[in-house]
Amino acid sequence: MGRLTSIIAAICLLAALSGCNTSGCLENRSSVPLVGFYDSATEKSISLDSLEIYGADAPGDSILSAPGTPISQIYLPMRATKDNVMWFIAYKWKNLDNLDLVDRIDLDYTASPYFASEECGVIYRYRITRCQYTRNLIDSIAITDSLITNIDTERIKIFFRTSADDEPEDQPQESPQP
Amino acid sequence: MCAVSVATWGQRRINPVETPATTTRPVNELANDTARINARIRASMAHYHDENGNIIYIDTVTGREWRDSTAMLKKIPMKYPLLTAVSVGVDIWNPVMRAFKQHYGLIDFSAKVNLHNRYQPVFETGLGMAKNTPADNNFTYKSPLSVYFRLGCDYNFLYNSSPDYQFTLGMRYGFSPFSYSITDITINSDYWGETARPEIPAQHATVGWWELAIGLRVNLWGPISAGWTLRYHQLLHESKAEYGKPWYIPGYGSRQGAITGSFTIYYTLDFSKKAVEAIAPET
Repeated sequence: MGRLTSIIAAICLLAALSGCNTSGCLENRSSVPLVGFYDSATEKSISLDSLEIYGADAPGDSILSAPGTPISQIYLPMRATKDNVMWFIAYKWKNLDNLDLVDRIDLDYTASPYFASEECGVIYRYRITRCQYTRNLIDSIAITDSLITNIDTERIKIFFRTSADDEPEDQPQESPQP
Repeated sequence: MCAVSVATWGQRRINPVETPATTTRPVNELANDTARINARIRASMAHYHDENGNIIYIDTVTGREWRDSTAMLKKIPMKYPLLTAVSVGVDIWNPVMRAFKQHYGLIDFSAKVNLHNRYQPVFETGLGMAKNTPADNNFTYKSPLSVYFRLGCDYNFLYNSSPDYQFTLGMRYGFSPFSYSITDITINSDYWGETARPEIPAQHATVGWWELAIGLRVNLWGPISAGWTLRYHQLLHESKAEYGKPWYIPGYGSRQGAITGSFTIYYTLDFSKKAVEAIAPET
């Protein structure tokens, strides 16, 4: 009887130890690039509260960020069913609130499914192949890592011209290949 | 007259007593004590430690060397013959855990040779499979029946006790070639209002790992014994995975798990009973 009790106790202990193996999904459950905002003159992070950011052809014209909320970073979702995504940044501030001054960011990429883990599931991973943008208030865009995964790290930096004296340019500019 | 009387009255009569203590001469009884002689000699000599840790004394006059036998470690003899026993076992841990909703694993077999009841080379093999559709996730993971192998050795700390009770510590190297597939994938994008259903083709992988195993084994009845083992393991190498690393590895278990266990029923062929007398407890 004593041996049987010991065997049962050992089985329960081993079952408990084997069950303590998973801690849930510690990363994002989808691949969404984290974009940071910077001052082009100082190259320091800045917080802007007058931005309205939305995606082209988003259903219901839904926006990702509304003016009034200061933000220094934002997640801009990619489209798994297409190989291109376009985001718009409108400036809702005094004389900058003009359709002609809305900046556009255009990304081309390749998407492939990827099994992240049992906890995080299957995601898409995106490899950015080309980045185009207008330079109304955007000075430049830097892509620190062209492979977008579910790991939460800033991969795109947008440098804004924050001086009021700068004249916006109308022609779209293409960034160097990532 | 008076002076003579005074002289005879003041003088004490000496009357010696003859006993063995008074008849023996004073002798240094420790003069021939060899332990003290050797200690004095050692104190005046150079010495060094050989490769086995023994103290070697050197007579600096004659150059003679001798080993200090008092400091030598006692070599404990192994009481059991070289081929003590051979055991075959079946691990029923995974079949039991499947009853507790574990979604992988099947069965494991082992063969162990008991040398001197001390060193135990072991070979393990088994079959594993997996199928899992997590409730809060977007895929189904499948891994068909695959074989795995483990090779290692255990050390029994109770080697001079009865082989019916063993406490072992061992290491293993494990290896498994297998395939896996991920199906029924659904990826939703709330912002864009889109649902993607990609497909990941069947993947093939080979994985190697090492294990540290602590085991306890007791005899149940006759040749039947039971042992449970706690295993700590880590991956050593694995093949490249284009669409993501496998979640389940046959013989290893879930990738996230560093600790697992096993419960094995053994059948033992004992070759030691006729060759070894009953062990008396050491006093």
